[in-house]
Formats: sequence, structure tokens, C-alpha cells
Amino acid sequence: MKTPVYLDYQATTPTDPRVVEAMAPYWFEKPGNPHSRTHAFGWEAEEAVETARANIAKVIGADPKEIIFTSGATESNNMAIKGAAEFYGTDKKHIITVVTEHKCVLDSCRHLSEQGFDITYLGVEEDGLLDLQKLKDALRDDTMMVSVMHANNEIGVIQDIKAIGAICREAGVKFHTDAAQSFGKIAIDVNDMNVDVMSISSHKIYGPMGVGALYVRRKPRMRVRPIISGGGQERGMRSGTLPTPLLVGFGKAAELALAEMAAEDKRLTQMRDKIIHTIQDKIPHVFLNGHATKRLAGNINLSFAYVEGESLMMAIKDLAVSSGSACTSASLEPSYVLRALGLSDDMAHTSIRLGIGRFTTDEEVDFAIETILANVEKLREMSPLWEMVQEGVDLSTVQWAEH
Amino acid sequence: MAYSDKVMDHYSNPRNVGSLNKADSHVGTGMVGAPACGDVMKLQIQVSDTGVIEDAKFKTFGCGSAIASSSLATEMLKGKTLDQATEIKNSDIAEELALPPVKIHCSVLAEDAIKAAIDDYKSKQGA
Amino acid sequence: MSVYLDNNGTTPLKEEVKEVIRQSLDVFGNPSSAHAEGQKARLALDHARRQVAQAVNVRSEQVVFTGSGTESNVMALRGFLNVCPHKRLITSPTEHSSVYNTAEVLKDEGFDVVYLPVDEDGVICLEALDKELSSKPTSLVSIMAANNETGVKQPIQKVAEICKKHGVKLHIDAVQLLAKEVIDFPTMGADSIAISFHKIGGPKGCAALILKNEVQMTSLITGGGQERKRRSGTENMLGIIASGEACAQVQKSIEDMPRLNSLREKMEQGILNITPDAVIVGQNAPRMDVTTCVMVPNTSAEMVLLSMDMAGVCISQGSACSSGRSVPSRVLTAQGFSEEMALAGLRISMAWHNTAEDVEKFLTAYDQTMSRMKIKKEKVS
Repeated sequence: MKTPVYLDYQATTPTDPRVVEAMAPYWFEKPGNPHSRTHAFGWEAEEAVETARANIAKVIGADPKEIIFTSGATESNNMAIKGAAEFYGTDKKHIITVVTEHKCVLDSCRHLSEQGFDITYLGVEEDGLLDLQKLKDALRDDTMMVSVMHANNEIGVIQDIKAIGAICREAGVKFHTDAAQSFGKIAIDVNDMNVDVMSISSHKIYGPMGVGALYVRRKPRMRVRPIISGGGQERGMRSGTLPTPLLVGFGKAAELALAEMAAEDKRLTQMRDKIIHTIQDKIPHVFLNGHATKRLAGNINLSFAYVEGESLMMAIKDLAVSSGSACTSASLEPSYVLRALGLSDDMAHTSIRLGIGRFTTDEEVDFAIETILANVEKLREMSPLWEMVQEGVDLSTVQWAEH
Repeated sequence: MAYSDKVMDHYSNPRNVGSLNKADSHVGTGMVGAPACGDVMKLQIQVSDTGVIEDAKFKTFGCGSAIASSSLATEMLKGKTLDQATEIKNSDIAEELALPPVKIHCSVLAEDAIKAAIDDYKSKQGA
Repeated sequence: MSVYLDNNGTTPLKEEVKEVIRQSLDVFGNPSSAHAEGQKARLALDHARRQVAQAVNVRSEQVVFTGSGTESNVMALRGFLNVCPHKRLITSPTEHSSVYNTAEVLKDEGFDVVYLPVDEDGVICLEALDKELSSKPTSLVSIMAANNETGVKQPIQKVAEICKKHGVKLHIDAVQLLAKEVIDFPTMGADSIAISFHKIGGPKGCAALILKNEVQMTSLITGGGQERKRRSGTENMLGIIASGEACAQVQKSIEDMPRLNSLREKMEQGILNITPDAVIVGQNAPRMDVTTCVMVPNTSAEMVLLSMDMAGVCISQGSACSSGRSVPSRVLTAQGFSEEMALAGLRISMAWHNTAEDVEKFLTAYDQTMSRMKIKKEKVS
């Protein structure tokens, strides 16, 4: 077993060797700009890109024409929200989203609020799920769009997209979902779920980085003004030369994800539950953040009371895990997602995210459990808070010298 | 976060972890920080009748730098008189551990913990 | 194996770049992750950024990685215009579609967009630029360094001097110039330049915007705050690593230019021998060493392209982005050519991998094509 053991599958995933193999000819043998329709190199590239597009569409039950390639889910989210606002925003200036969304969704909304849009940020329940009644209550005549992520990147919680889609469709409001974490991992049918626009990532499903997609519904038609204008590639929705090898890899990754989804989900769910239950059985005061079952099979987010997160990360350096989301883990701020669940700052500070995936082995799972148990116990021995709790002190009654 | 070898050494092999009897009149206890800030440091000194620190122990809830800072602080304290101990500055700790700028507050906390422990001891002595 | 002469559209990967890609296929960490796998990616990212920075003589922090040259151009245009109260942009009618079509969208959004007049070679009129800048407060000037269709270069040094005189920001689309001439950003006088790596033997899906230090602009893609908050999104690691290597090869490519220039001279002479009434666009203007734009009266570029393709020679018409549609090249009509002539415009563009043999093969195919199309005047015996 190689250490550190990679347990950060929500940040990014290793490229599947089969994806590498599929990309290789397009890296090493076949040059060509898929937009040059006038020579053979261009044709071959175009065909490969269209196969990839079809593979991606199939995962979500969409038509290939509804798939727009982008540089990644961040661009897709920016495009979905800012682009829809550009189109529909003249008379409808209200957007509903959720406080636990990915930063790029929140940031796109913030950008729009500076331009006169009114944004409702819905809170979530303690388990990370959205109360649908709160969504219904927030809808207004001028609501343009609802943007709710499918699966959360930090706590893995899966929102009831089908129910949200139905509410939005009934209200005549466009529905965007950030499916960066769920695409290829959970069954998605954009028609059944009434999704109008969906953001998709490649590097979260064992495909290459630097590429993603936006699903844009054709019937009833969803309109998105491009944020990258120019040569008019991607049906005029997103200009710029497409990176053929990356798209081929993305397409292959989508194909594999769909084929192996059920088996992988089962395997990872067992692993996930083993990790959670073993740790919780062996040591007290360990809390699972996010709903216990309505969550990604590959996501575990635990708070270890009386142990500080960063020192725990250092202690378990043989495990590549994260505290907070990858984008913010270098900062000292506690995760906004965990705070939205009602966690106090000190609990938010003691949490780590373990992401398991396709290449995680049973041996690695056992090693992770042992490593965590041993180090949490060691750090608790070193923790003045743990000592006080053992002595029966109620920490909430202590007057701390804030600094 | 890239830590210096010294931080890693103190973090992996912390010196003087543990507790002294806080009821003992020769023991001074300093508890600083707050869980919400991500750092709580408990530092204890045991002082001889001649005013020399004979033993020092710590328990810290905090990042690697906070643990290393308190571990180093206990090492520095041992054998010092109370007056000498008062002279220990956070910069001494930060420099010794080569703390990055974002972690300087850990050394500040350690200095505060030393002062709090000394104050506690002195108040017990009624001085 | 076909002869590939569409290098202004895109280039194949350089062998050195392929080697780096082979070695890097297993680099997968997210550079924002604190753990070892993330930090490995972070180091690779920093290294590639230094390589790119060196190629244009800037510091690493001035490099913003983007997803395409198009994105770099759009980011510069929107980014600078958004922070300036005067909603006015000056550009030229021969710009790449990423600038031109964005300018058209901006016009629809209420911006005042001025297209400078160009001469028959496509070179902008500097007096007009000076006059426009004197007449009204302007937010930004955006001019390309070298044209993708014709290879004609703009007098960017002079443009920069005029912009400086008026205190107006300048963006240069340098996508075609990179690796063909030395780019020394600090002395160019621009606030930003766009460069793209799939034009220099690097991968598609990765480009950059080079910025002056501390420059004020908004971002196009926001979120996690990557690229010093200028461009969010998990980095295209493989693309960036490969692009770094492509940039490490820039000096070598530039040194190869005299060879390509002499190949082009031979090729253009050959074209004129076969079709004496062909017009080579910008022949007497300052031009990049690798690009030929030729119009043969009474031909359709589309038909010529197909015939050439069947003979195993890849060239293009107009810009790659608009090929597949039989619309006359906007660039050529802007230079005063008739629609009919513009529809005949062919682009032949070379790169490091092209040889004298390629030129021979091109001329043979060209000769056959023109004979078949009864364009070539058969010698009367």
C-alpha cells in the first residue's frame, strides 16, 4: 500500500488508466482542431468530440445537442447563473439559492446582487438538507431561477433534486443544479428531474482536469447568454478552441461512470459506512456532518470534538484528506458549509473530510480507520478540553479568554 | 502548510505533555485561548521554594504550531527563575520554530500562557 | 502522412511537450489541497507558470491561466471595461473573432465601439487612433499583434506610445505572435496580452492572460479564487504543465524563423508561378514569417481546400473558427477586397515541423488542383 493514502476524492480524482488510454492517441498521434471542418485532421477530431458529447449526454438522459463543453464546473456554474440572468434578468430579478452551494455559485450570485438582482439564500437543516417548504415560500412572481446543488462537495448531502425540479417547473421558474459532485455517481435524468441547466465536471469522475460541461435544456428552451463570446463554437454558447484529448478523456470517463455506477455505489457505500461506524463505535464524541444516508457514497465528514482539525490533519499525514473544501483548506476560516449546519466554530474546526472512490481499497480503508483512531486518542490526551470534559466540566459554561 | 523541521519535531514528539496538580500551591496554571478560535493552551509550572521552575507541563488544543509552541515553551521554562521566565517573548518562540507569519499568533498564545501561569502561581503565593 | 499547413489554426504537439505529457499523466492532485498530492500539483503548477512567465519576460504572478485564447481576450475586454466609467472601446475590424464578436456584443450592450480604419494590408491607421483617443474619453484599446488570417503585423509599439500619451489602457492579442517573435512584455507598453499554447506546439484548452502588476480589472469566471482570484476553477493541470514545456521551447522556435521564412518565399514564388494572377495579401507589409494568405481570382477557397485535402495537404480558409461556413472572410473584406475575392482567400501557415519537402508536396497538390479547376493557364505548345 502506498502512502499517503489518497482520501480526497471530492477535491479531485485520479485519472482512470482507461481514460488515459483513450486520450493517448489524441495527445500523441492525432493533431487537429475540431472546428476545422475542411481537412481530415479536423474531421477526425470533430467525430471524437461528438462521441464524447453523446457519452456525457447519456449519463443524464439528455440529447447530445444539449451539452455545451466548458473548461470545468466553475465556468459552467458562472455561465448558468450569470448567463441566464443576462437573458431573463430584465423583468425577473430574483434568484433563490442555498447557503451551502459551491463558492462559484455563491460568488456568481453575489456578482448579480451587485447588479441589482435580489438573491435569497436559503438555509439548510441540521442534516444539510433543504426544507422544500422554505423553497416554496421563497418563490416570488419575479423569481427567475432556483440554483440548488445536487450533492454537496464538503458534506456529500444529496438534495431532492426531483422534488425541487417539480416545484420550479410548476412555478415556471428556471432550475439550475450544480452536479459537479453527483454526475456519474448518482442516477440522473434531467427530464424526470425537470432540470433546465446543469453543471458537470470531468475531473471529479476520473476524467482529466480543465474540462467540464453545461447541460442546457432545449425543450422547453433554456436560454443562456454566453460569457465567453467569439468564434461561436459550441452552438454560439461558448467560444474557444476545444481541447480534443481532454474531451475524449471526459467522454470516456462518463461512459465508465455510467457503466460502473451501480456497482461502485454499492462498494463505496459499504466502505463509507464501515469507516463511520467503526470510528463512532470505538471513540466517543465523533459526529457525522450531513445526512447519514442521503449522501454521496464516497463522502465522509466527521467532527472530532476536543481535537483541532489542522493538528489532526498533520497527525494523519499518511492520509491525504481535507478540512473544509479544497478551495479554502489553506485558509484558517472554518467551513461555511459546516457553520450552515449549525455547527459551532470549535466543532467546525475539528472536522475532516474523507473522500473515497474508485481506487480506494479495503486495505486503505482499514489503514485509514486505524490511523484516525490512534491519532484522535493521542491528540485528546494532549487536549485541555478533553481533560476538562473528563473532569465533568461543561465547556459551554467556561469563560474563555478570547483572543 | 509547510512546517519547519523544528515544528514537526515538537509536534511529533511533544515534550512535557500532561498535567500537574492545579490545587498544589507550588503549581501555577495558565489557560488561554478559546475553542471557537481553534486554540486552547493550558500551561502549568511547578515552582520551587527558591523561585525556580522545576517542572512544566502543557496540554494544547490547536494546530501543529500551537502544539509545538507550547511544547517548546515548557522546555524553555524548566530551570528558569520566575523573573527569567517573564522575559520569554513570543518572538523567541517564533524564531526558534521558524513559524510562518500566519502562525505567529501561536507563539503569542504561548507567551500569554506563560504569563498566565506565573500570575496564577503568584496569586496563590499571595504576592 | 498528410502535410499539415494550418498551424495558425492549431499546431500538433511538439515532441518535447508530448514527452512531458507522457510523464505527467499521473499528476492529478488539486493544487488547492494542503496534502502531499495537492502540493505536488502546486509545485508543478508553479514550475509551469515560471516557464510561461519567462517566455514573455514577466514575473510568475503576472500570468493568469485561462481555458483558451478566446477566454483571455474576452476577460481582458470585459475586465478592463467593467472598471472604467467611460464605456468606450477602440479596436480594429480585422481582430480575431474573440475580440471582434465580443466588441459587437458590447456594442449591443450600449458600449461605444470604434473600429479603426485599416489599409489594404490590414494595418491600422495610427493617426485615426490618435484622433479617436483625443476626441472622447476611452476605456480601452484592443489591437492584435499579428493577424491570424494574413500574418500581417500591427505597429503595436506605436499603438502603445499613443495609448500611453492619452493614458488609456491597452490590450494586445498576441496569440499569433508568441514563439514567432520575441515578446518582451515589460517594454511592449501594454496592460495585458493574450497568449495561447496550442498555437505553439502546446495543448488546447490552456492559454493565458499576461497582466501588468497590480492592474485593476474584474474577473470573468469567479468562485474558488484560483489564479490570485483572477480566474476561478480547478486548474487544468496536464494542460498547464504541457504549456509550460511549450513555452520553454519558444526561443528555439524563434530561432527557426529564418528557415521558415525562406520556405515561405519558395512557396509563394511557386504559387505565383502556377497562378500568376494570385494576390498574396500583405506581401509588402510587415508580416509574420510563417503565414501566407493568397487569393486566386475566380476560385472558391472551399473547393480548393477540399481538393488539397484529398491530395493530403491541410490548409485553411479564413480563420479556423469560421470555416465550414461559406461566408467571405471579414478580415479580407475589411481590407477592401470584394466578397468574391475574399471567398477565394486561402491560408497556408507553417511551423517548426514543416520542411522543404512539405512545400514541394504543397506545390504539387496546388498545381494539380489549379489545373483541374482550369485556373492554371496551360502553356500553348
